[in-house]
Amino acid sequence: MPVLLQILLIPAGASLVVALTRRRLPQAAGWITGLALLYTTGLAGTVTLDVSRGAPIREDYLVISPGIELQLLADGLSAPTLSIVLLLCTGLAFYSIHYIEHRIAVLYAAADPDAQAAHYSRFFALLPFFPLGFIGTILSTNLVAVYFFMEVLTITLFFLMAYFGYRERVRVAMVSLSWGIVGALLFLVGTLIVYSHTGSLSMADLPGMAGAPPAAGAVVLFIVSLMMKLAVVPFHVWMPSVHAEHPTCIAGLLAVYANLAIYILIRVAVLPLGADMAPFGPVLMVLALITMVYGSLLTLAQTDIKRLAACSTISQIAYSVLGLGALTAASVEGSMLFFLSHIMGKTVFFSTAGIVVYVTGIRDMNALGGLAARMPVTTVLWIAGCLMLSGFPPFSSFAAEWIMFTGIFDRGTMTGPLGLAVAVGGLTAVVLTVAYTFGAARKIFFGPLHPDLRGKDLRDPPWTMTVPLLIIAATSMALGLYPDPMLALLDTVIGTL
Amino acid sequence: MNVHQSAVPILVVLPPLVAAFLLPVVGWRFRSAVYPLTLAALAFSCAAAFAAAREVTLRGPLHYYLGGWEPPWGIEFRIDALGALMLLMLTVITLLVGIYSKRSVLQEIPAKEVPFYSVYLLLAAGLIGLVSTADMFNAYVFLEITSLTSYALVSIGSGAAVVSAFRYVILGTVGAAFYLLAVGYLYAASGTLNMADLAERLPPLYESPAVLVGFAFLVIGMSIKMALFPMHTWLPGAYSHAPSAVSALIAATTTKAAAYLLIRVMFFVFEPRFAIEIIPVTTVLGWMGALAMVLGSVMAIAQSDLKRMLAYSSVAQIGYIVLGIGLANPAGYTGALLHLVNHAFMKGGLFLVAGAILYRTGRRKIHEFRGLSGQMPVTTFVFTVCAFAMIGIPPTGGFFSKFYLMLGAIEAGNWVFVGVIVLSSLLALAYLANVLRYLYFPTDGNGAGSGAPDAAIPRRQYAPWTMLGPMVAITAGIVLLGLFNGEVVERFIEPALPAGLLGSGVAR
Repeated sequence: MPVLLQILLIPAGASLVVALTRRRLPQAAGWITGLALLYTTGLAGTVTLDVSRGAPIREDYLVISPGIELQLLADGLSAPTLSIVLLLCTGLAFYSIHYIEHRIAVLYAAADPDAQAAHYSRFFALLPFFPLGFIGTILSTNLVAVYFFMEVLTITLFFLMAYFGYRERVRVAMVSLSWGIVGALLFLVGTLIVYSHTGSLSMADLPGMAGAPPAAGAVVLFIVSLMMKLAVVPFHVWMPSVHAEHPTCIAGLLAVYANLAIYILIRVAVLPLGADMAPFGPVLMVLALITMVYGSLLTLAQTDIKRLAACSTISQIAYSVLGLGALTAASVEGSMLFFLSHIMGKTVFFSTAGIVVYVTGIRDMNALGGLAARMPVTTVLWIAGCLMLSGFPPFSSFAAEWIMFTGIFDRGTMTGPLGLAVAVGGLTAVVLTVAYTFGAARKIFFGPLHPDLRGKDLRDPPWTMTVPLLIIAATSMALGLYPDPMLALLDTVIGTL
Repeated sequence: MNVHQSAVPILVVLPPLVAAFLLPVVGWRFRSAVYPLTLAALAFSCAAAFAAAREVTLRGPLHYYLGGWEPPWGIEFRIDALGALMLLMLTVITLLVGIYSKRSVLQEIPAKEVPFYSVYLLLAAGLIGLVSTADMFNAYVFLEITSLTSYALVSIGSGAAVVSAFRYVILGTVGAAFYLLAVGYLYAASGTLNMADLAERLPPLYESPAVLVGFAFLVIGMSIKMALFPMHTWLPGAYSHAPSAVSALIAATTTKAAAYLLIRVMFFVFEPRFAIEIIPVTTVLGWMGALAMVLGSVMAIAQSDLKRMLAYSSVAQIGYIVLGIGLANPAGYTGALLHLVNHAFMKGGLFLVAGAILYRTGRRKIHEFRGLSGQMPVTTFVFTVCAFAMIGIPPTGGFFSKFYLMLGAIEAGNWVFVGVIVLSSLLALAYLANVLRYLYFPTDGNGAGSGAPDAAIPRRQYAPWTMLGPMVAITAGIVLLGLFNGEVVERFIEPALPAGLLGSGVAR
């Protein structure tokens, strides 16, 4: 079977297998999903290698009138994005094996073992729809297909959230569903403007409308729709509660869910309609700056460990938006690289927070302290997460920020007040990020052991929870030390700007 | 003109009509034969509809002259691509609901199956006749057959059904009277009742007061029959108090038949330019449709009874169809017709689900549905697909009707309508997701910390297969209508696209 189709279908197949074996082998569900995703990640890796050596891979499948095609394209932009996203999905699938078992034991304590097993396999039957949605969104070159896969993600999130989330999980699930569908519908309206003007739903035909008056309308709708996903101020309100109350094992996936809009925006607006996008660049940058500072301050004010990680996503995504708004090749490449670094960093950071909650059962940071001695691996992971989010070398976010800010200041207009604002805002946000990540590290892991924790059995969690995170951190480090191959790949597509 | 004469049109109408009168006789002695006989008649009619559709797509419109009298003197039955599409939709829905009705009729209206099924067949015959006839007065007759039978079917329901049926009778009769007056005016002005003949004779008479008044009355009459807001007041009571199978049938079909008649007269008997320019009915209809979409959805959100909520949602969905008619451009028209068919399936499916829940658990209030997904997984799944189709998520049919409607609004440059379609989809999300939430999640998860423990999964209680079969078939239909919407548009909508719609954009 063609490789891209395999990548797309294997997660769906995994879900089906889990659903079919739910009665006989409920405990194998996690491994089935994890191994299937591992295989797709391997495929995505080989695709990336092939693309870096040769031409983009393109596969065309079914066509639904009017002009909705399932066209998959792996090029220098989509292949590396896909590989990293799938790596995270795989890591988190393994991480979930123990985490969700524990979550179900707490959440459905009253249910009999059969019912608990049913919930366990339900989780792993739902989980593969996240990678499926990501793969579809990343590889599709048809606007309605992208819309469809965005809806798949929204609906998957709704069910995972409502079944396995934390406080007020059903209400929060409704919130995330509503925001997801509003955003997607606006995207659809933008798509229809494109269709009514070009008569095509393929992204390849988007440049055909560049410069025409409807293009600006379509671009505005795309931007607003994706800003809702990105949780840029003033569309950020859904993020803290949704991100904080979902089951922690999908935290990294939610970060991808939100941040992936950067990728879509590059595909549907920045690359094909750059000139029409240009007037909105400064607006995006200003909103991004506000979001960066506001998000960091919001994060600094949190005492709940999951909310801390959740709020940090708001400011982190805004970095990418800032780079995107500058609309130069280097800034957009930096923005993409920062997106990939952030999702890796956030996965490590948030999942480590999840480990702390898993082991201690406590979410309040003020009731934690001195865990370093008992949980050394977890502490290392947390510190790695702090470094990744704060943009310290040797992690890839450092390289990303470097390239991005170089790109931003390359832009001629960066001499006036906007340039100053970018410099001040960017610096403030970085300092605040260091403050909240390391501040939390100090509270949770160092100092004397908190009195409430005495007598508890505190130790590092099973290896399925730590090893995937270590691998992700190592990937980020490798990318930070050798960013050139990745940048060269991105440059094959974005370099045209 | 080379007219393609065929007996197929009458073969679609006759089986239910004959069976309706046969049934009381047979049922008098053999009560158990009633249900199979009904199904046989409906299945025959459905098969004939497929045959008709095939012939229409291959060879063009079919004509049948009743009693051999040629038009314009005799009554003509004529099935073109549009009629074929309506026939397929109506016969499939009546057959599926017919299969479904067995157990719910036994439970809800015991010992009345003979009159129930005869009236049911008569309603089916009326609907089928309405979309096959090419005669304005004959259409009135069929319209009244469908209305009278609907009144009867609603009134055998529970609770305040009689009151609701009475309100339905009053408003329905007013609507029918408007239509009859309209036919009278048009006949007085033109001297003919045959639709094709009228279409030829009318253009020189467009400025005539009789024609103008006739047309206005026709639009008003059909608006009442379609339950277009604010003439919808008969609908919620009628839909929510009728027996489950009846709700599903009339919600899926009767308002659609009225919408069909409006489209037929507005765009085929008259030229589109008449409704667009000479009396700007399309503009008015567009805005009324938009109003219905928003207010119908808002009222649906306020309901706690599932069937009543679905009824108000129908008011909103009729708004989509009317908005598409009001846009009067090819994309809007395509969207209106697609939505007409899709809505019949979606709303039919949703009412069938409501009926199945009522049958198994006796519950009607949404908040009583907590955790039903464990008990009735298939029913819940059907509801989920129908709900997603209503919200407009691909690849269901509902997505494509919205796609064309929005495209039509964009091509007309009417951004308010685009906004209304988006808003109304969100309102639909609000009321449907609320039901989904109760169906799927037994608790709110509001417990301190990690949430209260959920109750154990209750025992499975599948609905009987006569109910599940049609529900699953409708679900499949919704998805197929989406995947093959291109076929529907190409075979049934484009060949019968009225000439002279606004805009030069080609609906693909």
